[in-house]
Formats: sequence, structure tokens, C-alpha cells
Amino acid sequence: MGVFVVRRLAQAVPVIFLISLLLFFMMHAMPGGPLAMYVHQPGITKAMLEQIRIDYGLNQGLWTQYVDWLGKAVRGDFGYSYVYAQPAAGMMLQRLPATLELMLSSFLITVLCSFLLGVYSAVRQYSFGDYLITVVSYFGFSMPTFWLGLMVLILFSVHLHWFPAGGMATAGAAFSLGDRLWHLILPMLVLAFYTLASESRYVRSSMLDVIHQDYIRTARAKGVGEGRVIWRHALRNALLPVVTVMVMDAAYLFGGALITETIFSWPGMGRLFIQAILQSDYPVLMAVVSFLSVVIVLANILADVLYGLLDPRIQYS
Amino acid sequence: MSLMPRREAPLHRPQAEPRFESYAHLVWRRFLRHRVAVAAAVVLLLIMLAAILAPWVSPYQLGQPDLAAMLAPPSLHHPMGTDDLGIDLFTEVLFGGRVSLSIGVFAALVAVVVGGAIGSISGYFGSLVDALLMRITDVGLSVPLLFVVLLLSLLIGPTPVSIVTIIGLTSWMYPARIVRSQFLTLKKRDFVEAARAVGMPSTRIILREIFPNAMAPLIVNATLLVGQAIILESVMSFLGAGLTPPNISWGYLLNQAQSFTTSAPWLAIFPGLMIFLVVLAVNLVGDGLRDALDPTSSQRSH
Repeated sequence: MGVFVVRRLAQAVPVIFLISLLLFFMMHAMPGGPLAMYVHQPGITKAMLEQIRIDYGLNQGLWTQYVDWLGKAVRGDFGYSYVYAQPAAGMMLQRLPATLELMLSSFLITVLCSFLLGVYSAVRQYSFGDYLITVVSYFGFSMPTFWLGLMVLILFSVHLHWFPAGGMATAGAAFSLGDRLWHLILPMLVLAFYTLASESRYVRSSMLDVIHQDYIRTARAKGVGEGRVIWRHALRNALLPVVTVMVMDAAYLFGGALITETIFSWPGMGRLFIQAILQSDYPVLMAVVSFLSVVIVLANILADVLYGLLDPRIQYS
Repeated sequence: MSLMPRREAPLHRPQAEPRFESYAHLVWRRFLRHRVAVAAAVVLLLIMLAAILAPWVSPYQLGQPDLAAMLAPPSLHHPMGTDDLGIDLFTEVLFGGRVSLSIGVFAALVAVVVGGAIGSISGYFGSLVDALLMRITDVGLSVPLLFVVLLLSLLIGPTPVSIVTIIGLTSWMYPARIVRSQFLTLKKRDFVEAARAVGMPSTRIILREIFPNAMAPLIVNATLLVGQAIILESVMSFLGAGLTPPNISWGYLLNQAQSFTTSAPWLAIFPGLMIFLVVLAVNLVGDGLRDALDPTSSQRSH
């Protein structure tokens, strides 16, 4: 097992290296380049531009710049934001807790509900409830998250005033858990909806595969209670393929968070990224994209490892 | 006694000979059996038709404000209401459909062509080529899609062509994997061996012998990609990193609607509803196609 984890990690290194190379050269090959936003500023002179180029090390060769950048990136140094003159990685890390709060709460809701809905759907296959869940989940993964967010915002915040229209907490107020939760509910549910729609389907089909197996019939024949058969005997085995999907979806949630944060003015990493896009703040963009790529690669490995831990039939040698 | 002639009659009818149904006909028949998918296909066709015919069927001219009705709610005159300049939203939605739908279709096409090519080469030649191409596919799958797409749009500059290219070139990984796995099984079949034995060149074997047999799952995936591409484009435009006028897409209309969530919520409702409808229809058609194209599936197997 340990050997397998190490080997998977080793395999990830070239992938991460290729990604970094791709992103770095892609950016520098583009028209405008990293200095696009200075070029169009009023009153800027050629000499000043040249000075900025030298300050940021942009006058050196691309390979030199890349090696320099990579060496620093490995140590978590992504340079300074062009706009705020602060360390880019620091800016990102500062925003990370807000994003994680949104993502983790969404993830928990998703996992919990998808098991409940998926198992119900499978056990009561072709019942009214099953059809209803099927229809709603079809809606779920056909609905653009940002539109759902916009609709929810218009209905519950703008018109009904049930929930705040954005932000993480009431401005100026002292910290209170109730207030935080009140702000969290809408963005959390919007973010959870898409993954919930797809994951409850996975749980359902995985349960359906398991439920007709011989050992389930044996368990029933032995007189094991139905609840125990479903939740212990069947679900445990149905978990296997689902866990992989869920871990991968957790990484995907970052993309959903980007959209949700923008709509609900959530001060997280996604909003930072959009701001950086609108301001061409390359160091921040690079920090965020590099960080997320590493997260996704690690999530892949985690999914593989979990699969092995949960399924004793799989031997890693 | 009287049964005799009746029993004999069918034997002499020409229909008694075995009839072979063409694959296309079989697929068509199986698709028609899938009622929801057929309904979805009809809705999709109607929306596409309305978008194509936008200049002729739209009630107003694009960009011609109705100064008597600014931010007017939906009514008989303006079925979807008007925006802050008094421009009819229904007209904008029809024209927006041209942009959104064509970007969805062309981006999916790019993804399928690139993915198909990479998957075919990888699966057919195997070994080192395969290892290299699959690592590249891994890289593609490990990149945070939405973030990279936004970044690329910022860098290249959003035009319809660049958006199609960006979405297409970031969505080819699944088609590639699907085609590759098809090739891995198909290339060992006898008809491929036979083609090789008579000295057919590799390109011809890939394109003429194997690829047509590997198409079915690719077509299903392509359908789903159209929906994903439409959503991706609308997200880009919504976040302000996508198309801008004169190329109004449904996403751009939603971006504009953000300033009027209190005064004119209909501006946010209808363009999004169109995206939702189209993507839902595309997904349902894709499901119907999956069942129709798969010779092993009996009935709906969800």
C-alpha cells in the first residue's frame, strides 16, 4: 500500500510539471503578455515600461524565467500581484478558508443527501419517489449553476428577503454562528445542487447493481433485518465506485465555487480569480491555477488509494 | 379440414423470407421508442429553427429600442419583457440562440475531431505513442477546466472563433479516452487483421475500417458535449470573460441582467431558461441515442 501511494505520487510529478510548463508558456506566448495592463495606462513611457519589465524579470529568456518561476513556485512563492503589490500566494491563501467553508459544507450536504436519495431510489425502483428524484436530478445537471444561483438570489433574497443577498456575514456585526449560517445557506445549496444531482444517480445505479446479488439474498434468507441489509450489507459494497466519483467531484467543486462566489459576493478564492481575470493580474491567476491543478492531481491519487483501502480484492504490488 | 389452406398461405408470402434491417433504420426505430427523447428532439429542433430564422420570426428588429416600454414586464407586445433601453428581450433571446447554439455545436465538433484523432492514434498504435498521448490526456484532465478556460479567454481575447477553439481544445479528453478504448478492442478483430493482411495503409484502416465501428459511443458523448459547451460559453460570458456585443449570447444577456435583479427579474429568467431547456433537451436526446445505438441494451436501463 505504502509503495503504491509513493508510486502514484511519483507518477503525478511529471503531470504537474507538464501542467506548469503548459500554463507558463501559454501565458507568455499571448499578445499583450504580462504587461498588457501597463501598456494602455495613460502617461506611461517606454522607459517606465522597460523599468517594470526589468523589475519583474521579464527581460530574461523564457526558459530562465520559467526555471526561476518554478523554483519559487515549489516553495510557494508566486511573485507579487501586479495590482496590489502583495504576495500572490498569500492573497490566495487568505481567501482559501472562505472557499473551503463553502465547499466543505456543500460537500457534506451532497454526500449525505445523495446517499439518502440514491438508496431510496434504488430500493423503491420505479416508484413515484424514484421517478421524482430522477426528474429532479435530470433538471439538476442540465441547469447552469450560475442561473440557478441567480434565480435563487432573485427569489429568496431580492423579493422575499428571507436570506441576505451576499457576503459571508453582516458587515460590522460581531461574529455569530447564526448569522454566518444564514449567509451560508443559499450559496451552499446552490453549489451542492449539481453534484447532488449526479451523485445521487451514481449511488442509485451502484446500489441497483449490488442489491440483486446473491449475498444480499443470503443475508435476507438468514433473517437479517431489511434496514441492516440495505445500509450495512448493500451500501458498503455499493460505496466503492461512488467514493471515487465523490472525491473527484470535491475537486470539481472549486469550479462551481467560482461561480457561486461571484453571484453571492462570497469573499473566496473564486472571486479573487475573477477579479484577477478582469485586472490581468497574472501572478494571482498563476497561483490559483497551479494550486488547483495540484489539488486535482492529489484528489485523483486519493480516489485511487481510497478505492484500494475499501476494496480488499484490489492488490497493489 | 378448413385449417389447411389458411396454414399454407403465409408460407408463400414473400415476407416470410428473412429481412435484414439496416443499422441506421434499427437505430431510428429504437430512438422513436424512447418517447421522452423524441419530445426533447422536437423541442430542440424547434428552438434551433427559431434561432436560425431569427431575422424573419423575431417581432422586432435587433437593437431597435421601444422607447415607450423600458424595463417593461412580459406582455403581449413583448413576450419576454424589455431591457433598460426598451429592447425586446424575446428578439435578443432569438438572436442570442444563434450565438449560443452554434458555439455549442462547433465546440463539440472541435472536441470530437481532436479527441477522435488522438484516441484513434493512441489506441491503434499503442506502446510509446499511446503512453505519451495518454499522459497528455491526463494533463488535460488535471487542469481546473473553468479557470483555465477563463484564463485563455482573457489571453486570446474572446471572439466566437476563439471561444469555440478554447472550449473545443479543453474538452477533447473524454472523447479521446472513449475512442481509444474502442480501438483497443476493435483492432484485434479479424476484419482489421484481414485489412492489414491485404496491405491496407494504417491511415485507411483507422479511418475506413475501425473508426466507423467506434462511432456509437462517440456520437452520444458529442451530444452531451454540445450541452456542456453551451453552459461553458454562457458561464464565460456571464462572468464577463466571454463574448460581448454584437455577439450577444444567452450568457451575455444574463450578465447584463445582473444589474436589474430588483427592477426587471425577467431579464434573468428567460435567457437562463433557454439554456436550461436546450441543455436538458440535449441530455435527453443523448440518453435516447445511447439506448438506440447500443445493440446490447434492451430497454431503458437507468
